[in-house]
Amino acid sequence: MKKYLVLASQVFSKWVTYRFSVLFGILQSFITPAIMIVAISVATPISDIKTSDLYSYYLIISLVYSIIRSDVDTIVFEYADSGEINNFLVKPLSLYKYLFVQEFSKSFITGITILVPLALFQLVIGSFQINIVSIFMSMVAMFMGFVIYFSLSYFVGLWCFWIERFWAIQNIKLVTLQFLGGVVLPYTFFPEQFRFYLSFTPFPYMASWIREVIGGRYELFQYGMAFVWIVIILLILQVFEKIAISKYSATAG
Amino acid sequence: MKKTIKKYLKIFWMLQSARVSQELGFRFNFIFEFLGSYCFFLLHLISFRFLLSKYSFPGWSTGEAWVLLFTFEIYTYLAFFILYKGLTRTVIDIRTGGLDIILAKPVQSRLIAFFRSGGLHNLATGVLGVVYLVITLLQYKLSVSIFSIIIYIISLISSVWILHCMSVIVMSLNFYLEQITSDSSIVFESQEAMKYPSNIYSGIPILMRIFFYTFSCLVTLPTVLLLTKKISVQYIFGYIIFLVIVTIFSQVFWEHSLRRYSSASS
Repeated sequence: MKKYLVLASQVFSKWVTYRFSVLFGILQSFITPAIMIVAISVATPISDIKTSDLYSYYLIISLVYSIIRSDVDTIVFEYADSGEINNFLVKPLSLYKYLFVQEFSKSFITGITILVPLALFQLVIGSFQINIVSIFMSMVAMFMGFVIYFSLSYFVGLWCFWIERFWAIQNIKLVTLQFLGGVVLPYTFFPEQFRFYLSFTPFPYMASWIREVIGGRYELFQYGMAFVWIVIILLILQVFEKIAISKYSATAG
Repeated sequence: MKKTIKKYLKIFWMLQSARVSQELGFRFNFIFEFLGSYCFFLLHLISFRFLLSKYSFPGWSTGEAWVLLFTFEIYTYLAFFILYKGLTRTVIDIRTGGLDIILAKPVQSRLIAFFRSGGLHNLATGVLGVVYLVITLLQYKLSVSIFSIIIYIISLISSVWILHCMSVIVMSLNFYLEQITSDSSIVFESQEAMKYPSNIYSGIPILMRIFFYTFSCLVTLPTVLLLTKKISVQYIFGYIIFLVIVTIFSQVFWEHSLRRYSSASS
């Protein structure tokens, strides 16, 4: 446990040193939603959809997304490509845990940075019910969302042991998670039946659901589903990681 | 001047064809990469369909909106094909000292650094965009002429050049700031603004308008020219002035930034 705490502190100090990079990363996750907000605010609605509801949706979703998103698949690929993965084969370190701590520390710093605009939003708009329970529930949902996103990205990353043009799989991952996670379009744009089926998949629990929890709407069923998916993905990872690592041949010599 | 242009066109062609022949050597990889590119195309297609089921854009019929989307696709993948690899590689080269090799060559460093070709799969997806565009034009019975097609192609190339110039300006930050890993992709992410017609941004605050107008004009102008829709002289004039300004600025930025470059490999 201590070694992972040391790793977390190293990540903290690195990202505190490169503050501009953290801000740049957050800014980047706002570009697409900001453009979408502007586009729909000036377009003419031809259905019963309320454009004003979408403003807060995109604001919260981009904040949530910048916290939960993890490009661990890229890191796994880089480690495998450079041979750095050797370290995890000879040292008593779990690759999954190591990368989890690293990425979680990064997300934690992003979360702290984001608290400022979020507090300002609450002061100006004041649309959230702030109490201990809602804060706790939001934190839990955020953590679960991060675990699902991270684990799925890690799963995608492990494919680099088989596939040479790995970025193509990364693209498919990004598109699937962004679209089905509700980052590109709110779930209200999707047909009712499609939404129903989606609730049984891990996708809503990475962004759309967290936004609902922050908005004060939490159901035990959704926490249950998120938990079930975490267990399923972790079990798959246990097996898949072993198979993937067995395919590895050292390149770092 | 003519000789120089000819020389650089030849180098540009050689860079692109070398990369294409290299890629065609691994056909399975090409198919896989094409799928990776096509999934974004599909995302735009589905999300736009959902969006058009809830919203409409003033002054644009559904068919015209689809033409705009496919122009956006053609433009995006063309830009990816020509520019993206160079953009991402140059960022790495600046940090690792790889720029030394480029600077040592007896040609414009900017050409070698930025026009390295970004994969045949992007070009293939762009071609798919052309197919969709033609189908849309036929399906919605939108008329185009030979002349409008020629201006469309010229304006598309100009728009790719503008994007390149803007990327050079943003990317030059890497010579001044350390540890910015995502700056080069910011310009590409801002492309999202191009999916929508520029006239819809007219009612927003001035600073935001400049940003959205800048990006959306790059796709809206070729689309408007292809569909021979009404367009003001100021709009075309503004586009040309912007083209000239970014061309000059990008060169100034690049040359100035290069002076700050100190080799990391030595």
